[in-house]
Amino acid sequence: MGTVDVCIGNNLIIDFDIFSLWIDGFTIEQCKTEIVKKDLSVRNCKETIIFRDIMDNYHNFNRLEQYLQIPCRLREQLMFQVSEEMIEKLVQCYYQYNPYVMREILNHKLTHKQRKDLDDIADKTETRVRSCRRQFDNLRQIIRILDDLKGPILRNIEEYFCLPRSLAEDYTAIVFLARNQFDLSKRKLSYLVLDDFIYCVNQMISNWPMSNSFEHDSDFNRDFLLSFKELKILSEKEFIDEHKRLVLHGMAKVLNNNMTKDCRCLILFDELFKDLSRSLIDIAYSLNHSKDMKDLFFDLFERFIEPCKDVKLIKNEVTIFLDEYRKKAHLVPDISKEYPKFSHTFDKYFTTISNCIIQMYH
Amino acid sequence: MPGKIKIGILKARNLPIMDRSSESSDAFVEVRFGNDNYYKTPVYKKSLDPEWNSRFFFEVEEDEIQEEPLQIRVLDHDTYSSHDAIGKVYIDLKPLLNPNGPTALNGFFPIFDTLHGIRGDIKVQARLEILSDCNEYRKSSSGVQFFTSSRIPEGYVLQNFCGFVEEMVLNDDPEYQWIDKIRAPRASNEARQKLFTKLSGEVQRRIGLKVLDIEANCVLGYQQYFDLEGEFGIVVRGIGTAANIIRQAGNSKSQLFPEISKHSKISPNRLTKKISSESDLNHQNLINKQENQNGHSISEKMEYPFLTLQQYPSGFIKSVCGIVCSRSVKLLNSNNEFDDLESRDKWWIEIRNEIRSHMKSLDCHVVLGYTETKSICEDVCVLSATGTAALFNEAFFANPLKRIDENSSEKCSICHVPYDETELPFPVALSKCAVCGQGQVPDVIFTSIQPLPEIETIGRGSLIKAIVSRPRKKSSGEISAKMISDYMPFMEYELHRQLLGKLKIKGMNMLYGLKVQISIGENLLMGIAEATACFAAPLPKPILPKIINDKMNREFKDIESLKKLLIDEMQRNIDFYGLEFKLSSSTIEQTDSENDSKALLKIELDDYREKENIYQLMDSAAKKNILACSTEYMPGIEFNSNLQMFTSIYRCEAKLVQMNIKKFNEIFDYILEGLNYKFRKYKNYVLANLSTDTSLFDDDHAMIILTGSCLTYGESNIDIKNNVEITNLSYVPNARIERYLGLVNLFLIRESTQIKENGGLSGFMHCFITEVLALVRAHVLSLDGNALVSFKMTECVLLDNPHRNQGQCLINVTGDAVRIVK
Repeated sequence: MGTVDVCIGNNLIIDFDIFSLWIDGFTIEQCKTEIVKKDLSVRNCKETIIFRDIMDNYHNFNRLEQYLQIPCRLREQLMFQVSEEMIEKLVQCYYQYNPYVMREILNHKLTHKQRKDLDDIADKTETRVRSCRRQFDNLRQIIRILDDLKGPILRNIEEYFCLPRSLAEDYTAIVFLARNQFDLSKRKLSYLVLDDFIYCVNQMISNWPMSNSFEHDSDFNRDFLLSFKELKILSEKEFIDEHKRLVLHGMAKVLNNNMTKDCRCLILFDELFKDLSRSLIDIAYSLNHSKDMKDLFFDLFERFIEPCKDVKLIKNEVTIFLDEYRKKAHLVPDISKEYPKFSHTFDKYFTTISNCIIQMYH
Repeated sequence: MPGKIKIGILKARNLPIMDRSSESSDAFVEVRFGNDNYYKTPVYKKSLDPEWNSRFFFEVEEDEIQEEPLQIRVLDHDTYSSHDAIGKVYIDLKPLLNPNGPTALNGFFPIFDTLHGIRGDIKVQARLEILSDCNEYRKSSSGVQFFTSSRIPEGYVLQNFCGFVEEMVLNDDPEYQWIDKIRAPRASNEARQKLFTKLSGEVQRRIGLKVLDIEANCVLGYQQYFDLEGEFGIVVRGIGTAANIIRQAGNSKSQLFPEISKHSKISPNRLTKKISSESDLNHQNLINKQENQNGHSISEKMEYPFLTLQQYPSGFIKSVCGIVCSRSVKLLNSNNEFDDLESRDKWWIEIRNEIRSHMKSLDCHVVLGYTETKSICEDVCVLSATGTAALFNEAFFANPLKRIDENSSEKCSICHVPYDETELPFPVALSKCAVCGQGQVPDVIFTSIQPLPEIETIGRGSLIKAIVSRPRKKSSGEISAKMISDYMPFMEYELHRQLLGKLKIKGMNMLYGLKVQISIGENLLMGIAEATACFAAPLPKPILPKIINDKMNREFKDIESLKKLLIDEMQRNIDFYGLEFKLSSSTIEQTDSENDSKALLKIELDDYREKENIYQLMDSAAKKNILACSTEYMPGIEFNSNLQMFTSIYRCEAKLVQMNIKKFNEIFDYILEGLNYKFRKYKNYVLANLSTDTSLFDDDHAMIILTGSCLTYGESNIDIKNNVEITNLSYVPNARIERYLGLVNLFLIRESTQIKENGGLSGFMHCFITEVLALVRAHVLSLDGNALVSFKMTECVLLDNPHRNQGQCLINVTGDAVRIVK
């Protein structure tokens, strides 16, 4: 090997096998081992030659990284000649995240301190520290750039980071989780994977109106959240019993195929109904406090999912219950007299929340 | 004549953060042109994407535009201390002077800083308004177009060649001035960049004046060299061919140079063509004689009938004879009565005169593919000049109809020797031409030009490389010069012997694009020759090198096994390159005594080392399956698309004294193998136009730069999407050059004191070359071009100081900016 040993071309030709290994934080030496393992055709090449080729690629990637951090600049820079398809592919690879790592990163605040402590996450998820750091930095970079931009997050991510739709949507959810500092770190929530949260957040984003103020478009409309306060009437004495009756009645109709099992289910819900209903309404009631918003997932788990799980209700039964619960709420007599917009508000709240619960129920 | 440059400094993007606290910059721009013109934009506060939209103009002289670059400097405003430099942009306005060239220049230019590299881009516009000049005592020479491509530009018709033009300027190198001791590195680098750019402009301006003097309108095959003589200064040399060309009306058939003739089926027994009648022949000879004399008279009009082009329109060359070369070793600090520039001028004149006399002794009247090179080590330098002696058709310019005529006549005549069999200029084995059976041909022809489509070749071509290295004692001054000059003939002989041996074993008989480079190190001398070999139909089949065992003390078996080895290797080559002839017993067993005496290659085995030499003549296993050539075209292969131009840089640290030919060969094999690995995904590719540049530093490291293009053939067109195609070829495969936009000539220096942090010297070089290419692309784009042809890295010097974690690199690149249509 020479002290200088490089090969530079006019067109950027990228070996995406090497690129993905680089992204995963492999050192040149590790990358070589991996390539030799993977590609049978290179077996009879000299190792130094493979090494040198990887090194050339790594030099390119290291220079390319500054543009990958602000991908829209890839289009205007003159250092590398990259086609539009290549930009898409590069960016998509670079912003790909490992859901387990991202899940861990979201457990804490995105601070400088956490960046230093990524070793733990790396150990836990069996990923390279460098890869964790890239995922961490990517997220932080996206949030930082979004802070300066106006308009909907999704559009900004798509435009500014040149990400494909699906990845941009995932990032929108992740940014949302991170910005609102949802508490995902509770031990009881550890069984949930990132996709569960992304699903839940996307439910909220698509169903609940956002704040109109420009600085923080990841806040929900405050008035909207305050309107949930009105749902409290559903847990008032005069309505709750009627609601319970309707729900159980409805469930019995839907269930009726396996007698013993259904009976058990109905009995259990009969017992739990008041607690569960009160919990769901309480959660709605408190969403306008940002602290309670942060604990949303934990509250859902502790106050709804856990009690159901304790009595070994299966997902299907919970689904039926939630469905009936939502439908029958409209039929509770006199409730719209007390609060005229009840149906509308309740649906807004409950469709989203019940979807979340079903997703989290596993 | 006065003119006006209208300049617009519009905006910048992606500037670096100069103020940590606000994470932005307060940028402004200073624009300078020459000594008197200065403009400063207002400060654009707190932004990394400032917009100035300043428009202004400078009043300038025409000759200033030829020499001075437009200097743009971007700075960060600082209220309390001095402003911080962000970077600079030098823009050459010469292309705007060309009446056929672009009228304005517009685009983003990377802001380059010698210590930090590229830091953002700045959008600049420039437009030139000039009054035409009819003063005969003028200093400017605008309107003369320069082409670095060593061919007639596509879309132009050659009217005539007017002669060889050269110019040279000498200056102190700012790096070696006393002021450099107290100057900051950035200032020193910038002073050098500025000076070198200016000097090369001056050389061009002066050449332009000469060109106008001999009533030509352009310079073709322009070659520019920077001789860094250290404390003795810097010499900028330019050579080229003055000519008159006109744009062809209509773009329909602009292909002046016909495609390389396709692989043609010819039976091994090629003597099938009809022999013309005796009287006809006599007549033809008569005409030839006359033309020869005519040629003499014309070429005598030119002081030096040297042409720097490597490709000529068909019908121009009548006969190629062979390589002429001249070298001379000089001491830089010789205190003679002349001043430095004058003495250097004298050196080159000596050399040119020698070349001219060589040419005459070969009965030729023109030298084609002419180049001049200089290798320097401390105070000793070796000047070399080479070219291909040839005859050209005088009728070519006189009668345009004749051209067509010439095309249809016997194409093999180019290979026929121009001299009589009875008065050979040197001992040479002549035989009857294998195509027409009339003319006399030598058994091999070496040339420095690109493959001639007129000469029929069989099979594919191959790269041939010869290396000679020899340790020398450390010495300086007179002694050192003498030692080098004593060794020079041996080196030349050894290179030639290797080339010939390899050529024979390849089963080929012609060399194109031969290039020899001499490098001098403190204690090592090295010569590298590379060329494209092919099998030319008119020339005789190669004979197997003869192994002569003088002392008879060697085992007979040993000799036999060596012979067998050679035959096997030759057979393999014949098959691999599709040469379509059989190693008949007559080619193997050359017992003919007459032929024996003249056969050009014998291997004499008198000591054991010779055996190794035989192995050296064969390709190493690594090289065997790589198709490569040193020319722009590969005989027998038609290229599809240009995949990639590459620059491979390799530096090895080793005691140079211990470096022998074998080790150097290993390095080259390694580099080639690396390239082969990189392009392994493509099935049919050729590494074309390979060119090696070797420099030896001190006594402990050598740097080898290999440039070339990877081209595909016989595959569906691979469309590589890029903004700017940069290629070291003078054409773009599968595309037509629509317009030549001017010369791009950049001189850049990069320095770093954080070598280790940025991937070592490899990382540093990788980054710098990437930046250089980016700058080249920006210049091409600003002229509304989309490609750069004949890209050449004429200078690349890397100096480092590992203890101080420091490195410095200096690069000069040139090429022709063009607009192509695919």
